[in-house]
Amino acid sequence: MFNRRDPAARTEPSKNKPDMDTSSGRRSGLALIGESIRIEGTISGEEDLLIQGEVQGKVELEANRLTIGPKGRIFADVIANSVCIEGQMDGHLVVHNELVILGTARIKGNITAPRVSLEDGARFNGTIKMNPVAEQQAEPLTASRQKPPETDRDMRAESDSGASANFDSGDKDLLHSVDNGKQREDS
Amino acid sequence: MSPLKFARSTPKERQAANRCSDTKPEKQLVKAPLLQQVTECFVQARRIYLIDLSTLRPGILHCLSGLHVRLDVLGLDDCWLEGGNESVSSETFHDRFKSRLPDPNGELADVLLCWNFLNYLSPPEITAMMDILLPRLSSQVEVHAVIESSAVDMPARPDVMSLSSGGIIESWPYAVEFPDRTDSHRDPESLPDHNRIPAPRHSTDVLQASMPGLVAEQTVLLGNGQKEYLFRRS
Repeated sequence: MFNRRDPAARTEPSKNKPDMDTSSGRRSGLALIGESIRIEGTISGEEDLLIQGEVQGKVELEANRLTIGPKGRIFADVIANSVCIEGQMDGHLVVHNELVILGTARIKGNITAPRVSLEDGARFNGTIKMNPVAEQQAEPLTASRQKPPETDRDMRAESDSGASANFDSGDKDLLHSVDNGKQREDS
Repeated sequence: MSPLKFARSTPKERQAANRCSDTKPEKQLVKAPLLQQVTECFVQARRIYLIDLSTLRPGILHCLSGLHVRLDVLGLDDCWLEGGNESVSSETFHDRFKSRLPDPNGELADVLLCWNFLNYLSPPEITAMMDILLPRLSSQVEVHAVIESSAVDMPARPDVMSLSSGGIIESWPYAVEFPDRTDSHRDPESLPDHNRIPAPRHSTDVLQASMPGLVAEQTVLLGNGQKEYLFRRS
């Protein structure tokens, strides 16, 4: 699915894959919205959810995992503990724990998540904000900044906590050769 | 306005390119000191706001690991391809470009990563794009771009570029990276490495004139013959 240049990658299962069969949605404690289901409105609950159909509106799974399957289509604002996207998503996404974007995903919107894992091949257009704890602390400053100051960087530096975010990059290609011998400074 | 350059290769040009390039394209790696310099300034104590004109790639996320970041991904590769393989007018391109810009929410970007896209825009098109972007850039912004310098031609469609550790830029032909997004899975001859167009080889003066408000602070000739530019506010 990803890293098409590496033959080994084709035969090995992705490390980012969720621990469930998204084609059938069979896993204990997992709710499923099937391919032919279309929902408009708010979905909330306290169990993991796999969406293979279409959802418009809002999804709230504050303490649980949401999986948008390869055939899933979400046109909604989503809040979840962790999210795995294989299908299509258009909307704002807030993830408390980890976001996994697989190679087949097509996403448009704003993402806030402390950790983001990405496979090659995914399409994304929008904003990714990482380190949401510091983001919340910086929010009043950002919101009150109608006219950006000259020292934009300095202001943000003062407001940030500097907490770290972790990533699991799916791109494991090794560097074979680097031609830097011809470098020279022009100016 | 004229259609964008990525669609301008003629059949004669493609045939000539086919004769020259029978080998399968591979990933190119080149050290980019200026990009490394930019990324080395990323520190945990400070929030960074980047605008990336290219596709979201694991490399850039890996580079931003452990940082407090806002990253706007415009994905211009896809923007060009939205209309299939037909040529795209400048008006259409800029409409699509605007539609892909996220709401700035009053924030100003610290870094703009242009990768190789400026090669595919004429000077007036660069000016038009920068007119849109410039109000979103901070007074201390660093604008990074890779410009064809030595080569007389270039891929008809921008190569996919990504940042690796140690300031290494990796690049692949677009159709190799995303075969499902092009016709290459149906017709191998349509691989962009077979479709080459003349490289504009924008000079520093042309680039600066095309981007009012920015000056080329540093330039480095890369190992593959491309030039790496770092622009700042004038």
